[in-house]
Amino acid sequence: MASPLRKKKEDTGELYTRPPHIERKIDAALGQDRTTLRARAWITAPGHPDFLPRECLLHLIRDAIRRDDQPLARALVPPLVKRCEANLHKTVPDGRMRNAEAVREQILSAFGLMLAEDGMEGHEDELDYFECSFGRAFRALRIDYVRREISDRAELVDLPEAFDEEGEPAFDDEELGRLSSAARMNGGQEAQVDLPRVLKAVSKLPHEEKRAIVLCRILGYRDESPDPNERTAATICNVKGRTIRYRLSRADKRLKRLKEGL
Amino acid sequence: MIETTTNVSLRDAMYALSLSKKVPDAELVDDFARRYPQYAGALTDFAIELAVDGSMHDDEDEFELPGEPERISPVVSRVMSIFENRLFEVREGRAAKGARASSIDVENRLATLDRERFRKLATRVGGNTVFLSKLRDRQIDPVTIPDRYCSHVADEMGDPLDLVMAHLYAPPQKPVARQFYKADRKPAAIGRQTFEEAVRGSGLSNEQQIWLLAFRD
Repeated sequence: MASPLRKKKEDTGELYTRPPHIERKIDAALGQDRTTLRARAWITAPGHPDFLPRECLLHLIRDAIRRDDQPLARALVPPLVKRCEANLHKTVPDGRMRNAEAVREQILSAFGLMLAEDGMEGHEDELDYFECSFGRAFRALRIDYVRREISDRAELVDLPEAFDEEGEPAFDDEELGRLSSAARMNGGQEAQVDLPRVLKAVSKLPHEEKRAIVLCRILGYRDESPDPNERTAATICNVKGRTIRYRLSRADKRLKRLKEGL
Repeated sequence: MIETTTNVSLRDAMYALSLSKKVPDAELVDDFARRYPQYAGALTDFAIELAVDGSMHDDEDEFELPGEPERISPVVSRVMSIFENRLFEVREGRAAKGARASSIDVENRLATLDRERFRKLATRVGGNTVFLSKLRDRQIDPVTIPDRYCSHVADEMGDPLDLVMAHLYAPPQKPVARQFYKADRKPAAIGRQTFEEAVRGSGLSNEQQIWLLAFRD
């Protein structure tokens, strides 16, 4: 049986837990020999009966390192890192930033160090988050590195000319709001189909316009409020409400230009 | 509004926020901003990226990279070298906080051997100088080298296994013995051979090949 996680939730004090299906997969894998696990680790098709989810693979690696089973750890780390590399090729593609390749390697190196330093001072139980939901924890790590890189370079990405020619979907601000709400609620099929393309456009807006759009239309903040204690897009961006509305208007025009260009 | 500061790191707060919801909303972000006022701005910026990213990519997305399934890229190989190096330092108790093995400068112990010692070691590890040169120059894909053979090489070299593994995973080197040749074009990285390809393509006798390949699991 897999040892319980030790990371506690800050607000409730409860321990983080793995999803039940991950617990079951770990329990089944813990009894298997090294050759079997090595073969299973390279399977990347989620539908395959021997597929090991990343949470499960990570647990086996941590367990092997704690038990000083170096051959097993050594056999399982490369396929996990390779799966992370594949994820980064999709989520931090070469066109996203100037040095995407270097950023991908930074993120993977950081993850490799986390594996080696698991349990050390400053890294206690950090990988517990990854055993709960590898995808979400890895996303947090990735976003943190990408944000820092963009911040360091003060890189503002404008809409590329080629974007108009890619056949992006038509949408307006109401549609964006509807799709964004659907995303939070795991909405209907139509929204699921359109949303990635809409958000791709949003992610390429100039920095301040993107902040305004995401704060108001996706996170659901008001542009401003008479209540001075209320957090709004204006207070977060430290500007006046009319500046937020101007940025929203500019973003909307920019997005609508895409629609007319189709 | 009551705000208290905690000793939770920003990274921990980011993980917690990311795990709370696939796509955050204002209520959740405000809750985190209240709980971690010292990180309110950073967490809000993080939530903006998370909202877009969480909507574009599924949590469980698994992607395939083109190429052979059990071959790793040079990037993954370098990450493995960093991992092995750091794991060795941690085990040796030399891991000081903040003193991360951020580089992959791995001493190439095989390159320091003189010709006679190199030849003797080649015999002891069951190969010849051609085969040992491939290990020295990291021309063999480390994922394909059997664990037991790695341990055997480490024993014969008198080095810890972690260090040998860190060496094997480090970036390939240009062959040491061929430094003086005239090239018509810029040098390019050469793909690594599998263990079996290296065994078959090093001019080893049949007995040597059988002996080496028997190390495979």
